[in-house]
Amino acid sequence: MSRQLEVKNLTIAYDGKTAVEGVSFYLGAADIGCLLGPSGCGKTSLLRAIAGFEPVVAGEILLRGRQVTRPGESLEPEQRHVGMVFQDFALYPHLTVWKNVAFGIRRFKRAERRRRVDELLKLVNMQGTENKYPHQLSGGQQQRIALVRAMAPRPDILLLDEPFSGLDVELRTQLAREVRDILKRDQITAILVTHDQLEAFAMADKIAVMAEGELRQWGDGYQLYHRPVDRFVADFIGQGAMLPGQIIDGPRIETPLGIVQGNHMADLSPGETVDLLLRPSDIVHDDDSPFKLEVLDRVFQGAEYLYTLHLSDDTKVLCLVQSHHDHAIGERIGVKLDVSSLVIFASDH
Amino acid sequence: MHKAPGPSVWRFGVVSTAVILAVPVTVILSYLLVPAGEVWQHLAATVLQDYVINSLLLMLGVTAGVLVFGVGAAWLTSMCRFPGAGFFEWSLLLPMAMPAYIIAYTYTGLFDFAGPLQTTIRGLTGWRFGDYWFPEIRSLEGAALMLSLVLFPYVYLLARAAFLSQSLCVLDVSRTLGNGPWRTFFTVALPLARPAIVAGLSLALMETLADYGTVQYFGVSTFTTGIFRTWFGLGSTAAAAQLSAVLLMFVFVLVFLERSSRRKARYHHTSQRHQDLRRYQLSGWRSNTALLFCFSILFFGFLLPAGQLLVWAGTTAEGQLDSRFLNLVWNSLGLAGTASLLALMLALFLGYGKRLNGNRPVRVAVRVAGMGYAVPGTVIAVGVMIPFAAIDNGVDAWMRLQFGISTGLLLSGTLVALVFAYLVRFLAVSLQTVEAGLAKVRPSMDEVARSMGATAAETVRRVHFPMLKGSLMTALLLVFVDVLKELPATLLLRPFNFSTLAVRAYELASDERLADASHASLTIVAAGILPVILLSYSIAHSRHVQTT
Repeated sequence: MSRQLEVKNLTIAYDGKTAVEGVSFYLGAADIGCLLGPSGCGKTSLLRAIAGFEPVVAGEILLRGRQVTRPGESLEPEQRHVGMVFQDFALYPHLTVWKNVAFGIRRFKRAERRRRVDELLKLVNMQGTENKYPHQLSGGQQQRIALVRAMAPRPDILLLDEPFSGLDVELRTQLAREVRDILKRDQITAILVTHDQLEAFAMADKIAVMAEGELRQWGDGYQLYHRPVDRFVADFIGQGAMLPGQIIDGPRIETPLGIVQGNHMADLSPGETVDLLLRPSDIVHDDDSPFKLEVLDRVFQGAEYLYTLHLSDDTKVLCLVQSHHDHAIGERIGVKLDVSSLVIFASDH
Repeated sequence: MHKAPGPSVWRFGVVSTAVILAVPVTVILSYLLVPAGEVWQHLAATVLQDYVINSLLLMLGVTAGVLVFGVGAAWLTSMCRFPGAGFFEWSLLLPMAMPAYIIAYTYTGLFDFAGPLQTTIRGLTGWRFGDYWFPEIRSLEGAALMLSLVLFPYVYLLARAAFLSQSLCVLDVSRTLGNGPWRTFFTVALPLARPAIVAGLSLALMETLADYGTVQYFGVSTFTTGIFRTWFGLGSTAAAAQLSAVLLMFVFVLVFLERSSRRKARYHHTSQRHQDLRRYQLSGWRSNTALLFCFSILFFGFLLPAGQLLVWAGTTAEGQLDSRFLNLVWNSLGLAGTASLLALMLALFLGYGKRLNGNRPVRVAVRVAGMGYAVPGTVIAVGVMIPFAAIDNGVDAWMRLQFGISTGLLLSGTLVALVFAYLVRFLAVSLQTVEAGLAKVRPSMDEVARSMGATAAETVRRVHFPMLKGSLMTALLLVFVDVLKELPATLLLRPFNFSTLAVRAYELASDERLADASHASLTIVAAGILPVILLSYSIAHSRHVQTT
């Protein structure tokens, strides 16, 4: 597979402070990648370095095999052939929708330009708004125009900087899905920056979880959720709790909720203490189970209740139960483990 | 590939510009360190006390005037409904078009002993001079009234904006707690708007301190007239500069007051949710009083003096509208055009310098460059004259020594000095406008353009210029009109035999040829209406946005 974007060992620093350190990854053509992480993790700096707005200290960036940056030297943003969608959309208030979309393709032939703009407006269902001005559009509509404006010149890669954060929460995941469909239909390679994992899952093929300037894990949503490589990723992605345990032998672990057995990657010898990651779906409600835990809190989520259960003074576990099992706070309910692949980390203590 | 050029050239340029613009004020302040000469001791012993007291009394009078006119009108037009409220909303800005010295000339013509009013009274009653009491318009009280009538829009504008930004909730809470409309006004609305009102008042007082035309004509001795007298009459540079320095201290207090009030005003929004105001419907005598109040301010601040100017202009058109007048117009337009264009170019240079390479020294430099608006034209003129004359003398002495040629006055007696003084004083106006315009072009808009293949130059042409066009025109217009109106700096710095409309109006009025001065005055007022139209348009526009 051809590498549309390749980032090699990239380090970015401002005023002596390192923002991104030693990050490497690549994206194939028409892949959608995502840089996911809490604020200040360096994801936006990385995106801006790809666009050419931030100088790099070490490492290199290649777009379609062409080197666009190395330390001390940088190709101007306008020569990189990238598209960028900003959080604030940055639509030009003095131009109509049509002229905004056509902004980057004035070197196209007239007929070709017209065809491309019409095609893009049709792609996002915005025909008929050609002569409107940005302030006459809703937030979601502005977002779509910003998107197709960046897509118009058929960039080698499209960069999206928190494109949904200015919109209503209910709209975000839906729009993320919509944008994914649009990008896939136009075969565009893209990178999204976000701190919202649901957005990342809805849109991206590959996700880079970043923390403190480093890339912690690179994979798809399933891998990040079920195979986190470290505690940070385990904690950042999804909900869950750590259950203390002790290795019996290779696949078997003794825990306060019985012995679990399953595949894991860790290389640990019998007797070592470990922490086992439990997702809410790894604990099932079973009235016959010998393990009864007290309900500390519960949140009604429609089809399910998310129960917080008391295991010991410093361990609480989460359990997802179909909502017709209605147990009050303070009640003790039976649970058992249902884990097939184990995520374990060597114990801190 | 390309290496990013160092931003040091820009930074150096911005900082040097600010340093050059700060020369006049620095020169004046440096005279605080020069030991007091004989002239100064003479001044201190005789007239200085008068200058201080008169300036303070004048400021006190103007404070009372602009607060009553400005706050009253702002409250009525923003919070109440009465016939004509919508008309007054914008028309109350018209007095801004009337320079204080021009309204002073017209009022003198109207209310003096020989004026139409007193003549009519005498005609009706048969009284003669000394038989009756009539308020003397050419007095300190008169000057305070003249200044108040044309300066109250500063308070009106800011107070009105503050009242409109107050959420209905805070006022409603007061009503539900049992306070009537008057009590609510004094206990809630007024305190909330206080920072804005103080900011407007500071601006009006800065103009008061800067005024020369009115107080000179009315024979009130203040700092500005004192500086003129010391400069021309006593010929003492040092004493004039020292008087200027004392005046600057007064100005600094006002600047501080204005800045800190504006900062406070930002935090005076107590409610996040904004609900449009429901205006009090006035009826009966209340409505009539409101109407009368607003109409009186408009009448005395604009309609009456403008009308008088028109009448005079009509009666004296034949003798005055000659090639000499055209020459004056040409001088004024050329000067104002040059200064406004240069100010715009400088403002763009500083504005972009701050935007692109805005480190701390650059931001401070831009701020310093914008300080001139507070400094009276008289002070700037003295501060320009001293260093320019020193340079001229230095060059002249050197040239004579080396080549036996006398170069005479290269800078100080020329339009260069005058235009430089205008730039020092009015750069702030265009800088503010340009910066506000640039702020609308968000950095992401630049970056989108760059990522879509536009070069930096193309981005400026296709994004910045169209978005800034309005602001640039506004900046040009505002400085243009300010230069047209400016009197004291022009009087002090103009080259020999060079005159402008403002200077001509001043000279004719000083010769008691008030009617003849009307053409020049009227031209200045007509030009002054342009920014008022612009301002009222933007007010109407902002209200429109609020309601949609």
